[in-house]
Amino acid sequence: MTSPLLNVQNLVTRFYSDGAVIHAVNDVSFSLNAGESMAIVGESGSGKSVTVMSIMRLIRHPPGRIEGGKVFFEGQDLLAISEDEMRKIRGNRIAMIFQDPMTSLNPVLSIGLQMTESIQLHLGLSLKEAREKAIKMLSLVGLPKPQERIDDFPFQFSGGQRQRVMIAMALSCNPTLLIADEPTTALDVTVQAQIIELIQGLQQKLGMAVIWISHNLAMVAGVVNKVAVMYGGHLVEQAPVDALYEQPRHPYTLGLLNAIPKLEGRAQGRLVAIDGMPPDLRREPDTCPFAPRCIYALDKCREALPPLTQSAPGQLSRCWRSDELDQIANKVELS
Amino acid sequence: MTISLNIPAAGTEALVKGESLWIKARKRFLRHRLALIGLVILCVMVLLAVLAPVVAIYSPVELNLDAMSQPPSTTHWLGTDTTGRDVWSRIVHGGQVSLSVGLVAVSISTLIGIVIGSIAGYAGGKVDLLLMRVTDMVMAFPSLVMIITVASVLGPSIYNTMLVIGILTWPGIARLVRGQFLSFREQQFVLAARSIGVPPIQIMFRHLFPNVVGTVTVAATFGMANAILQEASLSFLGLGVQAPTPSWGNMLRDAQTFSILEGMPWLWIAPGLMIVLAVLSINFIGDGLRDALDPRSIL
Repeated sequence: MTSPLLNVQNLVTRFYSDGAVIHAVNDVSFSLNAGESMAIVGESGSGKSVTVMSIMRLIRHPPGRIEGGKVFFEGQDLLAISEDEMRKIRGNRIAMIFQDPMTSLNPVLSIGLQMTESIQLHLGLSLKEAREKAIKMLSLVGLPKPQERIDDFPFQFSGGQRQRVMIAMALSCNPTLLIADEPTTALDVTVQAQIIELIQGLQQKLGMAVIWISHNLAMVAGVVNKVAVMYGGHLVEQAPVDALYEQPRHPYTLGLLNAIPKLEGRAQGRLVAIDGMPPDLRREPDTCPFAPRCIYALDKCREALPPLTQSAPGQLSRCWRSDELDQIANKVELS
Repeated sequence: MTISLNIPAAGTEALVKGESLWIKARKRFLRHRLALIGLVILCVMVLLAVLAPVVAIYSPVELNLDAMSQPPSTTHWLGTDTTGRDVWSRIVHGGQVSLSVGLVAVSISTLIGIVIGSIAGYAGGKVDLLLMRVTDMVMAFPSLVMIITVASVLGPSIYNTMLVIGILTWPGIARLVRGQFLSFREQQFVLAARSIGVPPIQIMFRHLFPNVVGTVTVAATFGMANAILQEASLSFLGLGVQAPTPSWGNMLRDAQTFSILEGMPWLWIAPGLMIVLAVLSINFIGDGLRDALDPRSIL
């Protein structure tokens, strides 16, 4: 068996602010093979963005700090190499696209300048060659008339176009891993579909692995091989996408799936929600983070953090009751 | 950004053709009428100062006791002072001093201000704290004491004046740049630049600096106007440029007696007007530059 492209082991990231410790990422482990795609889902503040920012080592210190764990990428521990070496990997081997295309391009620099910069940095091309490459990338992401638009400024593009430019920029050095941090959240629905299709198409064409960050379980369902669910800085469940939808092994995942509005049946009643408030990340991460909101919680859940255990082939869950969850869930539904 | 219909055709054309930043900036600057007037006035002033030996018939320093205190006439266009020196000659020669003091002093202060401000703003934390305390110190330093000290140790001269003004006036620009950097570094485009592996120095000066260039330009032109005035007040106190070398500042000082103020207005109107004109036109140019350098302004 070949080693995975990305192997995150026991990653811990904390933020220090006003004397308080924010446990943003607690003991997160997962791995991803070359060409594979996975999703990290969770609500706002669950630590999904901080996880990938830690992988990229983009956490600002202070206030943030990666306090433990290993991130093996192409066999190399990214947390152990120097900042200079890391800079050679960013944008080159691992690229990232961001949530809001409106603010992720520099408003006073032409997109040509912004695109050629990373190409020149990593591929060592001349300005002229880098420009040609940039134009090629722009046409690859479906931007019309790229040779005319390359000297335009970000404000001359629409939101969808800007996200296309961001994608072109991210992929211009042919990375083996693309991290898409909620790439469609700020776009309207039709453009969302186009962007998702674009990234999927490019993934097959260029053979890279993709990590999708999303809070939308339904959106990622058709896109990825496996899903990791995060809650309160913990990875609570990880499973192949089909298994996760068929039989979730963590109450939080179950809650998320129930919260997806369904098309069939009569449109009646309210949308289903998970009761309670998102967890306070300042608490010590030594009990189950979901226990206060969990309708299946036992005393044990409030005393100790369950380990991430395999409950089905390829399906990991951080719940004391993962094996019996389907039965008790049915029981609750009947009563 | 909406493009309304009453925008002149040239503006929309520029958008479509994708001209370079500089061509667009020049077009926008040329449409800024006040800035253009300012530029013309300043150019004339600089030209006169540079060509001073040619355009001034009389020596600016030689006394002429046959023609003391004469009002403007065809022989002495702006009259003569109490020792018979031609005011026009002194104005154009004084322009050399005043304009170069302004330019050099501001170049020094802007350069120091940008470097310190951007490092403090981008790095944040302890570096920021340290640099800002140094800035506060310089800001709180009584400039007059410093200038008197320098003048007495190194002797009063035009170069010392430039240097001292430059070294004492950077905190304003440094604080300005720092503030802008602090807000811009949290923007997502900085994160995006970091995520493609751009080194910090390049982020600071290639990505962040163009965002603050407009603000800095305006501050620098105000600074230049200030430096000219400061040189004038230093000369006024006898600490700047030494007599008999003329500068607009020490010409004003020489005109500060009651009899001159009352009876010979040509001695203070001319240098005063030159200072006002220079400061005004520089400020207008700064204004125009700020608008021109912002690619978001379409007009």
